[in-house]
Amino acid sequence: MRVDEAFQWLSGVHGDELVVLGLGTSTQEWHRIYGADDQSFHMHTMGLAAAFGLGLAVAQPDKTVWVIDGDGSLTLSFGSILTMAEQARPNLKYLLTSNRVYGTIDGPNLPNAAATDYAAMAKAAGVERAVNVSSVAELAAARDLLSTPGFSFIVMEVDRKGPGGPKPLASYEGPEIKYRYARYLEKEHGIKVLGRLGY
Amino acid sequence: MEDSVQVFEQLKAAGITVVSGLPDDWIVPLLTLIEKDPDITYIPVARESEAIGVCAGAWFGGARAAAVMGIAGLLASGHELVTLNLAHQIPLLVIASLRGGIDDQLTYQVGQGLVGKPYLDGLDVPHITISEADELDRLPAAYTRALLLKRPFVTFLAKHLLITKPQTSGGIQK
Repeated sequence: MRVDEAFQWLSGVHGDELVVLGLGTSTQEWHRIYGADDQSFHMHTMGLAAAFGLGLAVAQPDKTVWVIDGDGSLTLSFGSILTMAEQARPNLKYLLTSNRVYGTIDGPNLPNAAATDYAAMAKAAGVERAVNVSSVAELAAARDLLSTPGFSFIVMEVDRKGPGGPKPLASYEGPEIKYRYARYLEKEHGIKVLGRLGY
Repeated sequence: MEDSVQVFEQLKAAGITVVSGLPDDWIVPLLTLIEKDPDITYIPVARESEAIGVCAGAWFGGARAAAVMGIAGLLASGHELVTLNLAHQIPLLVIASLRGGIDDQLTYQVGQGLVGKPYLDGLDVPHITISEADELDRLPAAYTRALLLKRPFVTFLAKHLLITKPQTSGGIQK
């Protein structure tokens, strides 16, 4: 499956879930396909999207949170699998874009790229709803894992190469990302993020 | 009085409802109190830098959160403090044990004590040190300070405010 095919499907079923995007391919593909940049938080930090999404899910237990992360980031923070597994927040859905490379920089393979089974790692940590999907049909078949309560760990195995063509970059401006997401959460989800005086 | 009770009471006074952390031996009593509290959600993490992310996500979720760790955890979280909190201007209160000073006899804490504060100064992360119990009421103000500065704000705590028992973990006396 190509990464854009997976993201097209996700974009099509996305409703009011809160979205957190890992640095790199996850952010840029969601930006290119979904478009509404104010409706997702774009991480600058490799390895921290899982923790950020967990914190959001803890603070907002009645909202569903999607974390769309990359395997380069997860590789940097495998311990977060244990943290998410122990918490098992029913409103947290962790979607891993697994291309086995540092894709944003057209870079080399991840360590142990050919062999690592991320879903098996999650299962070994106690995550019951952990699956690998390698096609849009398999992703669609796993839709219940997104739409029903329960912590889900969905590994989207995608091609090493992206779709090619022009790549309109999402803004990397940290404060812009912060304020537009905070205002979106306040306006569309009724979450009080910024105080009366704006901080 | 039970260890760390006064620190815990000030975290409650600050309205903290989410705590994420990883203990060192001085922090254990505080985290034990936090875990028992029905009004605080405690998220234990595998590495301190995750606590930085948990607190940021919780802040966007409208919660008042704090990261609790030993000073070594701050050294391990420099990348996250810089690329998340500083880059995005996200406030964060960190409560950390001030290890490696004259009240710490563990040789493997000496390095953290020597470089911890200069390290934060290098990152432009502000910090205060609370050494006496009658200063603990500054903790709620420390949270507000993080909001105002839109960046991490670290509050170091002296040993006797966290733990009063003699050190046992690796405390080899010469």
